[in-house]
Amino acid sequence: MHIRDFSIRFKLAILILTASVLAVVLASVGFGVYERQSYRASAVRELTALADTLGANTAASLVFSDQGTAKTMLGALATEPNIIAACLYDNQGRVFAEYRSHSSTPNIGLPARRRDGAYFDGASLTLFRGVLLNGERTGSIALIFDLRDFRSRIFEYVKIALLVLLVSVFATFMVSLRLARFIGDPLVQLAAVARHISSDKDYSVRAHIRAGGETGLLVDSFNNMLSRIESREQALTEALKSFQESEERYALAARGANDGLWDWNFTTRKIYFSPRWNHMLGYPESEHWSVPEEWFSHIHADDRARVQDEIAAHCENKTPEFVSEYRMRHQSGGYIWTLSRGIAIRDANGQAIRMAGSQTDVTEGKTADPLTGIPNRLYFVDRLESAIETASRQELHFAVLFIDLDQFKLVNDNLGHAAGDELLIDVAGRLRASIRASVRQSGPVQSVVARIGGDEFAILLGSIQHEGDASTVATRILERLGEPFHLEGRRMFITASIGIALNCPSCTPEDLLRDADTAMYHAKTNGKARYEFFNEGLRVQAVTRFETETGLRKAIDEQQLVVYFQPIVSLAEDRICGFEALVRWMHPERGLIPPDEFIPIAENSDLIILLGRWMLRESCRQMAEWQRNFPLNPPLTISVNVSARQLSDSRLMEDVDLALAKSGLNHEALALEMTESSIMGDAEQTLATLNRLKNMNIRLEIDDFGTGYSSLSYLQRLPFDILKIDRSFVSRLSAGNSSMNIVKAILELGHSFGMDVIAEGVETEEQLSILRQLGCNYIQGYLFSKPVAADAAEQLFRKTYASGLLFSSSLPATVGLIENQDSTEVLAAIGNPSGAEHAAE
Amino acid sequence: MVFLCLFALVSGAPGIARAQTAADEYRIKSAFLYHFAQLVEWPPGTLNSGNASLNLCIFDDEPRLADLRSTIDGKPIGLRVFHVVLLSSSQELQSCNMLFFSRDEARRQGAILKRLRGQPVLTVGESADFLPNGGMIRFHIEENKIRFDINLGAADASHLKISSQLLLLASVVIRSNGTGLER
Repeated sequence: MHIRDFSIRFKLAILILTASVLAVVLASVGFGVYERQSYRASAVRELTALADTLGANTAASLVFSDQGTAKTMLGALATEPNIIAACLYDNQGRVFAEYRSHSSTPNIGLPARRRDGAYFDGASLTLFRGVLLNGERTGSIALIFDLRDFRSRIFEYVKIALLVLLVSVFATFMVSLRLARFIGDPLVQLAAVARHISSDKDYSVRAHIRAGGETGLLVDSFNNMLSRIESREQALTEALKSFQESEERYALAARGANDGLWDWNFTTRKIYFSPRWNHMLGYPESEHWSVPEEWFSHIHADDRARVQDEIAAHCENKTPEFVSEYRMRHQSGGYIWTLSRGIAIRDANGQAIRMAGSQTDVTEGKTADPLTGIPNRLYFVDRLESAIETASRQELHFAVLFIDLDQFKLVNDNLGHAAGDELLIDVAGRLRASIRASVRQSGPVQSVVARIGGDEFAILLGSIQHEGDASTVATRILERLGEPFHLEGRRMFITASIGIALNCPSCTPEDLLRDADTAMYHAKTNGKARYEFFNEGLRVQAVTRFETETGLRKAIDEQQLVVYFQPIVSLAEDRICGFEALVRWMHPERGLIPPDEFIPIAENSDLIILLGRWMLRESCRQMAEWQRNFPLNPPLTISVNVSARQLSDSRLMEDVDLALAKSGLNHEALALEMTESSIMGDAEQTLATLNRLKNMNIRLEIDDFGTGYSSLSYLQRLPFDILKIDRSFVSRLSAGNSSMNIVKAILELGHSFGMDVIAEGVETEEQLSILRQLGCNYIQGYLFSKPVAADAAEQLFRKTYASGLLFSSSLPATVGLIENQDSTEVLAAIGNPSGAEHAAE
Repeated sequence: MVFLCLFALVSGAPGIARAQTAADEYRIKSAFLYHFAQLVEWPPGTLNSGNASLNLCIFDDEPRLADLRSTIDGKPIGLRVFHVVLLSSSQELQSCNMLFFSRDEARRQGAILKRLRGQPVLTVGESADFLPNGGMIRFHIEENKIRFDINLGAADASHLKISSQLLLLASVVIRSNGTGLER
């Protein structure tokens, strides 16, 4: 055990004791040495004085060789008890006289003369001194001094010193015990308190020790320190508690928000992922540190570069925050959509050193249709993709149903968008219900109902055995949708057309959707409210349609299109008063392509705009030419068809303007024909467009009147000049039948609104006479001429222009007119009045 | 007498002052003369000031002159120098501080002592009647040792102060009243 391990009291006692012993010993030794030295010095001094006295007294005797006197003189030393012996030497060192004390040891040898000085020799001191006579040295004297007395004195002294030492040690020990307690006890107590605190961690304890001076200061400081530690501990505990609370709150919020958190340290290149982050991707809910590559490796290959660019852009301070939506691979193999937000932390130089943020699973928002709540196209395609994968692995069958509502546009236009939305929601519900009712939901391929467009729905029908299963479902859907809908307080009936495509091994999701779409299109053309399976034939048709579309685009550029003209005859004047322009396609390989083969295709795309523009320009140009060649009063008119898509296109006005300006045709000579359905789209916008056309003095014509809704309200509101009775009424026209009543009613209606009425598809004299009788203004049809090329039309007109009258001799005249045309066509037209040509009008 | 003395000296007991020959005797006596000068104090002003010598006068016909002179002439005495001055006649006494008469010159000592009475001249002689004649220190042989007697009265009359040490060593000291004081 080392001394530093002893108690402070013991150490203090040792310290005091050692110090006091040391002091006493040092003092004793010091005094002893001093005593000895001063004794010796005084002995030497005394002896010197004695020697000098003796010397002075004996100097003369030495000079005068008087040994007797010298000896007598030395004899005086008998009074000095400590002088053992004395000796007088002459200048030659010879002994001149001597003295010996009686009490001293008798045979002490006389020393040989030495140099002057004091010589200590054990128990004696010998002093040599010169003897001077008037300053002249006459000899030397030696005195031998007995030191035994001195030694006994020293011995006495040591005895006393030892006694003093003993007493002082004892006294010091007693005092030091008290002193050590006095100083040490507070410290010992303080140490005990400190030990207690450090073991119990109880900072409320205080040291209650009465002490003054430094110890008191120490105790006070100790207590002050404890107070500070206690309050700091308390503050720390509270801070920790509030920190934990805030951390919990944050964790709860993050959990509640379903957000995963990430924290990327650019310096260490480590990234932290929260439990939720892992959970989102289907991994166990635990936090972990990883490298950024782990994040990026989970991002869909198509999104990865973009996300990295967006992060880099934010790090370079180009964006205020990092926000990105991307797909991440789920542990199950599929992808989820995530929305990630992050903010970079920058150092003093603006360099991004850390970036942290959240990641939210937005798959549902991303993949659900917000209106109906069922999956959207994105999700559907995704499911379809995995279905194809699963099916190819396990040789399963599934079907894709493409459903399009037949009358959605009507509902939307007539009842408003709210009703349309309501309808869509209802339809979505019915579709889901019909799937639930008819399909086993368990199976490797899950069935999905999705809304993939405005009124287009798609169904992935998983786990079917054969075509029949798909038919059953389609039938059920048609039944379900056949039940009445209640919209805006009305009962409505809706039908849908369904196209079905069965999976094929090498099909992509896009292929399947397209095939189902094609089949649906087929169902629509086959009369709607039905389903059709996709087959190779349809594919060929679709391909043809595609080819037609591309070909048509080329045709416009390469002038393969031709305008045909069908005369419009004024019954009041019995002569040709104008033409309707009709487009024909002279395909370099396929020959003349009928309009019903390409117009619908054009109407499905922007081609109709190009086509319409070309028609306007070409028709106006031709008519302007004719007007110049055949001036008439009123002048010849030209009717050009305008499709729904053109009507809603902003470029229409521009196109009309340009066509008129380029041709120089007077505005009144141009009539634009549009069907009832084409103006139903956006009634307000259409009205505005029509009013602007009207202001340009262009005449407006309703085509196919009677086939649509034939609403009286729009007849009243829209600025139409001419009304065209649909050929279906005209062709069935005979005296006294219902068609005649309808035609009569339409005529009266038109006239009451101040419109002229054209009857199209007039093929017989009977029809002509009835129409004339009913007061129809104009007629158009095979009875006079089918649509013909410009030169034929001009020829036809030239004849009537020359004769002035058309109907001088009714039928033969007509035949005569047609004579110049292809006679077989005329015969065919007469033999088959409801020919294919009708559809083209 | 001289023979006797010489004999006494030669056959005397051993010692520093043992006079084995006449020459030795007088060499010792000249040393004594020198030491007397050391132990006697002349009255102030009586020693020649400016002259740094203390003169011991001896008559030039003194037979022991050479022995006396060779031993002590020129020795320093305090700040002075001890000189042996030879006198051809008694007329030259005024330069003397000390005057020595050997036993052979006893015939003229009476007159000179008479002349010198009260003068600060230390007189040293050897004859038996030297002290009664007014001399101050007289040598004599005692147990083969050269000893001396002192006439304190004569010294006092001449205002010479003789050191107590010298008095202590003298065999006989005669006080002023003429009574001899034996040690």
